[in-house]
Amino acid sequence: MLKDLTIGQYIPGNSIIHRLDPRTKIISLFFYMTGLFVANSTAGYLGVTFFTIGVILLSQIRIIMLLKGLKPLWIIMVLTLILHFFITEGTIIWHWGILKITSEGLQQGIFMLLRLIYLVTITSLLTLTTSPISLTDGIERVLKALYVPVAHELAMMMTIALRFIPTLIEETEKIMKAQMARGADFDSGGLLSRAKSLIPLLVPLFLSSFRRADELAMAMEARCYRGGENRTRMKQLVMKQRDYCTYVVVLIFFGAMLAIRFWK
Amino acid sequence: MSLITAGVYFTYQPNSPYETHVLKNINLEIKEGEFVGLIGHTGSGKSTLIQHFNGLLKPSAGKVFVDGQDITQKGMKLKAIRQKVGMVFQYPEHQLFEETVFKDIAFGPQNLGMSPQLIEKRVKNAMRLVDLDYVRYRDLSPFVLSGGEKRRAAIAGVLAMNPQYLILDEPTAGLDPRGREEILAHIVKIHRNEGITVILVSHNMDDVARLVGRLVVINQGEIVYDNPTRQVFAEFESLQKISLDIPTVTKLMIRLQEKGWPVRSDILTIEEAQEEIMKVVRGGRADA
Repeated sequence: MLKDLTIGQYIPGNSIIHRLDPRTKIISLFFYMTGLFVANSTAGYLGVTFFTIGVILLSQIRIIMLLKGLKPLWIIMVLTLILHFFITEGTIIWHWGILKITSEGLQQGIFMLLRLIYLVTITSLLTLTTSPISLTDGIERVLKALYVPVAHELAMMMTIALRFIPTLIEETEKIMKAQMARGADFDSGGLLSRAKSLIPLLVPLFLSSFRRADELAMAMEARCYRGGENRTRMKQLVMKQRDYCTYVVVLIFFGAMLAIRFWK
Repeated sequence: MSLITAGVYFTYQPNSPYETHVLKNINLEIKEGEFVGLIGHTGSGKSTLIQHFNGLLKPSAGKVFVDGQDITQKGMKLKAIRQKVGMVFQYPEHQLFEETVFKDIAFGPQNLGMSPQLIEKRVKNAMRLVDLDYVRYRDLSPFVLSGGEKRRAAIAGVLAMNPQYLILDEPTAGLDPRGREEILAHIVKIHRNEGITVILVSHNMDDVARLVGRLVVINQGEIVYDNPTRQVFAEFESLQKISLDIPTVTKLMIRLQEKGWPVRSDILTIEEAQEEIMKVVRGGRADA
């Protein structure tokens, strides 16, 4: 079901991860991802795995929520696995006809799969533990620090987009049901007829998105929204001790990843 | 010939932290030719319930019968059921998508695989039922119509499938009083003239009181009342407990009673109220 998508959802909580400054989380995410892409050995992946599990445990987010976020990606995951299995050259450990699995392929496939899973898990962890408002604040401050122009507007657009994912999913289901009540069939037939059957879904969906965008813009203007200029905040972001500790931990992780890869 | 739910339970996201029992043991029989009102507070489960009647949702337990046919069994041809049980969702105009009114109304019949001649006949008939002039409207884009017209076009889209049962979820939501009156008048007409069984889901007690003969009240997924309308609104105290209102005229009559006027309080329409008040007023004069 579409409702199972967890991207952009926020689950309120009071864990250490929830309470971290959003900037800390964003910057740590960047280092984590770089570390993840640096890892290319069993030792490296073990390190990432332990770190990831640690973060998940600290966040107190139920593992089932994270698994649900992975569910829509299963095709890509299986494909990644299979492609690496059969395409990588190396020592053959199993073959059948022209299909062969190499030990290098096996390793590559599993590594790639893990990389994908960790990427999705940790990014959904960011949105799961950070309220949309503090996420915007964080993105905005990070962008500003990087001298990106219109940082506020960019951050605002991102949060609005995230905020509307569940709404749009709900809307999609509603329209789907309304058209099914008129005998529409969304899940049978060939590729062409299936693509065609999406028209009764997509046209109303686009229309309602535009309508919502209009309404939202109006509501924001009615409350005197005018972008980032001279904007002050009720809640100022302040780095605390736990944030500095996080930076230390993340940098140690990052350093370890580099060391495992490059230090011989 | 009837719609029957037998011990229907519906659980949302079972075996997860979000598990909610939306419907609990719903037993309902809606006979052909009835005009039934379904009322309940927001989140009471009424929208979930109606989606069981045409197989959009499957009950977690229990069975749903349409004209004696169990539609919960495997391999059921749901298209035929959806033709029989027409469903108009809330804000049905949001489902319009075609270039012309004709094409949009024809969407349902087309999905049922009808011939072009038959489709045209069906569309004409459906537009007549909601008072949209065929010649004037058929080539217009549905998006240039007014709010009320859009809604009528959308309802026509369901009527064109020639349903025997028509379920309407809040058909007057968001319309101005005039648009509301029009839609309701059309629904009554469709019920009377075409003999279509109607289930009307509504928040508006005034509308319900005036139109339906039988009223089903649902609260927290359970049926609380299933009685003739007059009888249900006589229970105004317990209705208020589950945050449901009673019709304005009924309220008026109760207030009059409290002030000591010997009027009946089981009054549902303005006409009835007028008659009753006149009777009491005249009676009073005769006594004096």
